[in-house]
Amino acid sequence: MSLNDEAEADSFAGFFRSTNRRAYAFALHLTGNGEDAMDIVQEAYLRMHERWTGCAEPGKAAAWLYTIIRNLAVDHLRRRARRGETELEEGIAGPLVAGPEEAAAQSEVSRRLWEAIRSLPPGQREILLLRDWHGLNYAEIAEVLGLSMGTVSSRLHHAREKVREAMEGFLR
Amino acid sequence: MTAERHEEIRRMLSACLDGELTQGEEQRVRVHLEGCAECRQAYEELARLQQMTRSLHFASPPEDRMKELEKSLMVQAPRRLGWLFVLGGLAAWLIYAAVTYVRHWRPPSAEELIASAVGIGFVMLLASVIAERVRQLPHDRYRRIEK
Ligand SMILES: [Zn+2]
Repeated sequence: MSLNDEAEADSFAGFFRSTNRRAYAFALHLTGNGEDAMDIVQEAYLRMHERWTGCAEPGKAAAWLYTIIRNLAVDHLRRRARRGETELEEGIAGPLVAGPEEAAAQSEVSRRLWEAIRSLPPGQREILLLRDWHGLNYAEIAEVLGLSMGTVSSRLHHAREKVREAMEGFLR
Repeated sequence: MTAERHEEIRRMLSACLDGELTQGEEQRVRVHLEGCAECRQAYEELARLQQMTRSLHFASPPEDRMKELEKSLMVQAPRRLGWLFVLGGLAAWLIYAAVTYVRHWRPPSAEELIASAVGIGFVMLLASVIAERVRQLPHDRYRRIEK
């Protein structure tokens, strides 16, 4: 279930509608702040829109969007770090403030799972979420993060093994 | 089956789940899973985890701001096209007027005077819009970041 498969992705309006919730969640995970996340998402779509006609393959659009959001977020965190508000590492690594919505309303299992994902090393957590929650494939993740596909695959393997261990007893 | 063999298969389960193995590798994993209950269980647990992760709920974006953004995105394209026509037409008209002026000077007709007034008005409005844009530039905090 990749973003690319979603039907009306060929028009910009369709692309916007099918991706904006995920785009926001991604920005939120990176910045940990709803206001900043929304600013970043807005800027990312405006930029994409300006160059949209050049994007012949809608399949590439998701990776493109995520790349822009990530770069904007990194830049944003760097600026925040310079002002002494947060450590850069801490931002991207994130004590992920923005956890699942209405934590109380979620099941015990979901909460445990989120705890397990949260405590992964940042480099593994980001990949796990990009793959399993955002639905990006390995090539797209590699492009967004500037990694090789082999690195993506092996980090994902380690991330999943850790989470599986943490979730023992909840998976049968 | 040797422990090494299990280890090797285990390392491929995650990529297998994502459909990211080559055909040959996937075949090998499938064959192994048929005969190994332990690895099969590991695979099923990974699949279950993926399902659970996929259905986590995260905070939704502020509805009103997303609506606003969508609207402004849809308005922008035709507006840019409009400006393109205005600027292109204006440039053509200015060139035409200049050439005519140089080649055969005569007192301007009433039609030409009216057209000139409209043209000059357009140029002034355009200049004011451009000046405003230029003044706003330093405040656009994301402007320098490239993809
Ligand atoms: Zn086995």
